[in-house]
Formats: sequence, structure tokens, C-alpha cells
Amino acid sequence: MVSTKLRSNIGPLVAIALLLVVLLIMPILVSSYWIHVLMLMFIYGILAVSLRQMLILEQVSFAHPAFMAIGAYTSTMLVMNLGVSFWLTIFIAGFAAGIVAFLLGLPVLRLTGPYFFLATFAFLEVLRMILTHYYVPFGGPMGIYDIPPPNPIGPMDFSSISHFYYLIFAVFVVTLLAFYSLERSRFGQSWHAIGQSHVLAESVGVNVMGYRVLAFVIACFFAGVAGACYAHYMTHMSPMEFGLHLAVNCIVWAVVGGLGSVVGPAVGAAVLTFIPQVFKFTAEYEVGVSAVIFMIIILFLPGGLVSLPQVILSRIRKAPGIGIVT
Amino acid sequence: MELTFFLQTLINGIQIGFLYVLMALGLTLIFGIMHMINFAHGQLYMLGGFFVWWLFDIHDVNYVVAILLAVIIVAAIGFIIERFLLRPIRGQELFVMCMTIALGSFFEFAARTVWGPLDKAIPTVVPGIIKFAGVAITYERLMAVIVGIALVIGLYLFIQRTKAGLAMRAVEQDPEVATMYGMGINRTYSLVFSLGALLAAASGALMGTVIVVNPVMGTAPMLKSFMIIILGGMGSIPGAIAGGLIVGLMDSFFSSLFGIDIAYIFVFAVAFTFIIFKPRGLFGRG
Repeated sequence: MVSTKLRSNIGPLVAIALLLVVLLIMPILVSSYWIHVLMLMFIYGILAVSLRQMLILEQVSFAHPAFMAIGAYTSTMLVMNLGVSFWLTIFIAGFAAGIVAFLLGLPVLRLTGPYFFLATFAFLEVLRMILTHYYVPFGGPMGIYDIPPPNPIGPMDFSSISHFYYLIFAVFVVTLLAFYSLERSRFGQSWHAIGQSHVLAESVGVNVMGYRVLAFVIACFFAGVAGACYAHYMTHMSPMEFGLHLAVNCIVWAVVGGLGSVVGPAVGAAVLTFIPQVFKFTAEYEVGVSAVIFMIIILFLPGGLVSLPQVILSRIRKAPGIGIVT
Repeated sequence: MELTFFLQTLINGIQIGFLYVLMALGLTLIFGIMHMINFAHGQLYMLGGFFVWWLFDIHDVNYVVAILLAVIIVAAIGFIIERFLLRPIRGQELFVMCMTIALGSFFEFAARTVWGPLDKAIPTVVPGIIKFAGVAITYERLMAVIVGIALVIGLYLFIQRTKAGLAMRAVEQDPEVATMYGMGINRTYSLVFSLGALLAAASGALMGTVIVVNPVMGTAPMLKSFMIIILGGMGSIPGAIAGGLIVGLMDSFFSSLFGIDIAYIFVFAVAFTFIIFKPRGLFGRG
């Protein structure tokens, strides 16, 4: 009994440790192109994991790219115009996004369902058009060029892609750990309760509005941080990148990966970033194929990709003649 | 502002407004009864435009017949979507939304693959311009507006005077009681979604003749329609009409006064203000 319990606990731990080691030595193993793909996976993963926080509250936010843009523009403009260090602005970017999320959340989070996502979508479009329209200080539709990499720390020189990789990897791991600990805390329980029925949660004394605002501020903080990382890594950004397309993608990544666990949305982001790289020879059909895959997952795999092993296992066990008779 | 310029802007605004109305009507109908936002609406609109071009321009089908056929084909597509893709996940808001997003991107992909990404112009069947007091309007646009008004009246009569319309109103008010009185929810939902698709296709067909058709033509009007149904009150048909005209006029006046960017910001900012302070819109109930 004890040994089986230990074994079932050790399996995932070993797998996680192995995955960590593999990801850490990645820059030695693969070409800089694949490192670039991995970094995008991490940045998208941060977005999807933080958006999941809103999705389990049944608040589908379309404004996630807006907060990413707030983080990206805040950090870039502070670094380039005022000469503030990136190591400070990455936090300022997060806090700026968090503050805007707080101010926006107070009126908007009272809304539910389609009303909420249309309100967040309107906010996204207004912000994007303001960034597009004003050349000073936002750079207009062309955006901002020549964004400098972070200042070097000791042996780490972030103008090199493999060194930058470790920075984004670290931010990604911190995001996962943060949302894991939130999930297991009192907050996580309240969030799940509100997601299942906000009326019921309110009736037993959960401060629904307070928890919604808190979740929104935390989720947007990480979107802001992701934005800062993205801008300084890409060295160029334009308002077009933070539009409806990315908003939809964030939701798709989270749903495809599965909302049941913190890591699910990150898996979704990784898989959906990876697939187009592999199927490059069918680039024309890539959009259609991913749309069909997405429909199949919605209809037949509501738990997302992370629930796939379990579903397969239970199918095998249920199948007559194969499973162990209990 | 000169009087002629003012009148021309006004006429343009009303004209754009009526095409928005048609699109917003389908969206608001689906929202009002099925309580979902159809993110594939813009792509159904695009398909409407493409089928007319394909039938009329490529296969030389009579213009009126081409529009009717296109609208019926898209309504049938709407029926299939509701029956096989939306019904199994009914009530799961996030999944329904994701399904319509996936459908939208699939249709866009299909149109680009089959017909190519380039603009297609539907040749005009009613050439000519009316000039009145210095204001010009093409027959083509006038016809689009008239057909639009006819469709709105038709929809109103359908909902108010027919048995199916009565069932729709009953299901909207209380699905359970309506079921008890023998008005099948499944049947009504199929009808509503097909009707919504039909309206989208009709506005796409009319818009396609006025401008051009291409695989991404649906996205921008769909996003505007979201804002229209917020302004008018989500689920309200008079609201969609008023909202469509207001947004059409705002578009036309603010574009000619301050430029397209500012007009766009203004429409979304007004909608945002509305949804916060008056989420039921101008005509919404409750």
C-alpha cells in the first residue's frame, strides 16, 4: 500500500524533474530557431495560464492582450525614454497592468457572460486604436523599434538568445508556481466556488466582487510581465500584435490544454505553437486543420489535452477482455 | 459644415447603417433566444457574399435567384451547425463561444482555399446614380437599403404573426414553460440559428454588391455589430435597428470630421460606456 502510494507520487515528480533538466539544457541541444519557438511557447504559456484564472471564474476576458500591451509599452517607454533599468521596469509593467485591471475591473467585473466579454473586447479595441493613432509617444501603427535587451547581470548577457531563454523560462516557472500556490490556497477554493455558482458562493458569504477583482488584477499582472518580456525579447512591437487575434488565441490555448489544472493552458499554448512549426509544408491548410482539431476537442475532449491520458486509460480499462476484473 | 456635405454624410450614414442593421439583427436574434454570441456571424455574412458572386458572376445564374440561393445555402449551413455542433454543448457558454470561433476561422480558411484571398467585385445590375439637391446616391445602394428595409419588415411579421414566431417568443420568455406547451426548444433553436445565418448572408450578399467580397470581409462589420447590439440592447430587435442607424451615422459623421481612427475609437468607447452604465442598452428589457 505504502509502496504504491510512493510510486504514484514519485512518477510525476521524476517526470517534472526530467522535463526541467531537458528544458534547462535545451539551448545546448537545439538551434537558435527552436529556442525562439520555445521562448514564444513560454510567453504564450504565461498568458494562457494567467487567463485560466478568469476562465474558471466564468469571466471570459478579451482584454488580456490589452494588459500585455500595457506592460510592453510601459516597460519599453521607461527604458528607452527615461533610462530606467529593465530589472525594475519588468515589475513596474506588471504593476501598471494590475492597476489598470483594478480600475477597469471595478465597473466591468459586475457584468457576467457575454456582457463581460463584450466590455473587455471594447476596451481592447479602444486601447489598440489609441496606440495606433498616436505617433507620439506610442509610435503609431509601426510601433516601437530597437528596444534594448535587459542590462547584463554577471555572466548573463541578454543580447544573446540563449541567455534570454533562461530569463523567460524563469518567469514562466515563477508564473506556474504562483498560480499553483494560489490554486491550493483559500483563494483558489473561493475562486472555484464562484466559478461553479456565483449566486451560491455569495449566499454563503463569499465576497464575489472582491475575489473577482483580485483574480483579474493577478491575471493581468502576469500579462503585463509577459508583455515586458515579449517587447524586450522581440526588440520590436506594434499595436497590431495585441489585437483580437491574440485575445482569441489566449482563450483557445487555455481551452485546448484544459482548464482543469494550472499546467493545462501552458500545454495548450505549447502544442498549438509547436504544430504550425512541424506542419510547415502544409502551411496553407494549417488554419483549417487547427480549427477542426479545436472543434473535435470541444466536442469530445472537454477536459482538454491534459485529460487525454486519463481518457485513454479509462477507455482501455472499460474495454471488455482487456481490463483487470475487479 | 456645408448643407450639401451634411446631407451627403447623412445619406451615407443611413445607408451604411441599414446594412449594419441587417447584420446586427441576426446576431441579436441569436443572442436574445439562444443566449450566445455567434462569433461565426461575420463569416456567414462573408459566405453570403461569396455565394452570390460565385453563382451570379461565375455560373451566370439570374441575379435575384443567385441571392435567394446564396441565402438558402447559408441558412442550411446554419441549420447543420446548430444541429450537430452547438446542440451537444448547449449551455456551456465558454465552449459554445469557442465553437463559433473555430467555425469562423474554418469558414475563412475554406473561402480562402476555394476562392482565393483576392477581392472579387460583383458586377452591378442596376447602374446609375440619382442626384437630388446636390446629394448623390447610386441605384445599387438605394436598392440595398430598400431590400434591407423589406427584410426587417418581413422578419417583424414573421416573429409577430406566424406560429413559429410565436414559439420563438415563447422560448425566449421561458424555455421550460414553452416546452410544456409543446413548443420544442430544439426545433426553435434550429430555426433561430438558421434565420440568423440567413440574415447574415443577406447582408453579406447586399454588401458584396455594393463593395467587394473577400475572405476577411466579415470581421470588421461583425465587430461593429457587437457594439450595435450593446447600444440597442442585446436581444432587442428595435434596438438593433436603432443601434445600427446610430453607429452608421456616427461612422459617417466622425469619419468625415475627424478621420476613421477617431470614428472607430468613438464607436467602441460609446459602446463601452453603455455596457457599464446601461448594460440593457436603449431598448433592452429589465
